[in-house]
Amino acid sequence: MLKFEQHRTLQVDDWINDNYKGKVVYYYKGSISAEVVSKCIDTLETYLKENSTLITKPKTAVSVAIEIIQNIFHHGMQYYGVEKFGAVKIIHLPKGLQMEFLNVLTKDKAILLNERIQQINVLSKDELKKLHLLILSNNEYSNKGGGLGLVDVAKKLNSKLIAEFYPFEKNNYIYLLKIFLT
Amino acid sequence: MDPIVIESTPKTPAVNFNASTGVLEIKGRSIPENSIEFYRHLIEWIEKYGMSPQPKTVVNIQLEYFNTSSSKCILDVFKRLEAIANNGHDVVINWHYEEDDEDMLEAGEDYQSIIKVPFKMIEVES
Repeated sequence: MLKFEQHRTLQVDDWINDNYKGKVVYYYKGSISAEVVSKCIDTLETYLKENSTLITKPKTAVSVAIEIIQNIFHHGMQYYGVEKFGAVKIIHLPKGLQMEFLNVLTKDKAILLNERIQQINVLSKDELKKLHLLILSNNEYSNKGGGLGLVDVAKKLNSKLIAEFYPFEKNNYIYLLKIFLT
Repeated sequence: MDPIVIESTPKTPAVNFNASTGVLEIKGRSIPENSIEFYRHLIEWIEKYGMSPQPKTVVNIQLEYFNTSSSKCILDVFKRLEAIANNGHDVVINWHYEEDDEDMLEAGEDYQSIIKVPFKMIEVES
């Protein structure tokens, strides 16, 4: 079993209100509905078209955002009475685009997800491509993606996934995924 | 057999498959929250078409974005087309991708390595 490195605490309101001294492109905290997914993607896409030199691969940024926010839509849990809770923060920084996605998981899922991320992060680009192909060609699947999502994100980003896990209430964790694109 | 015609939406692609011409076109975005529901009708239609297909079936697919749940459904579409090819009919898949969209080119190459049907990678202007 891989080591489960957990952080101490995260104040969600403090996190979402911290713009890292950049320009806020999009932020949202609450229930992740199909409409919220659309709004996030539309806003990001429009911003990247208007700021075409901000990052080298704007389509990759949009693809990755689609995958992660739809993952929260499918797997999001309740948080302080809000169903399918999630939060998104996208910041235009001087040297690139910071995208952060937050949701709540059970402890069991957090441990499994942490292991999966660590396993993905040690793979080379070629190994990621092979793993992606293996999962894609596997016959079992569902609307929730069947385990392909994170591998797809890592393959497109060509960088390590940065994930943080914060204990929250009994047996739950806040999961924060951070992506920086240049 | 009536053609299958589906208008595009911000999250689903336009689909047009006419059994009398054997040309299937899929164009746009495929990022629905429920991909299986969207592709179910098309897959069923292809299965019926496969009972009496044209000598040559041409697939023109051009996607701007697709999510991973769609990627599995698109593979399912291709598997139905592969079955038609395995029954002795010509099938060709024209995979269009925008210039500089390496992700989309790579996705087409992934399908090409799984599906035993001729693929043509066609670069288009963005």
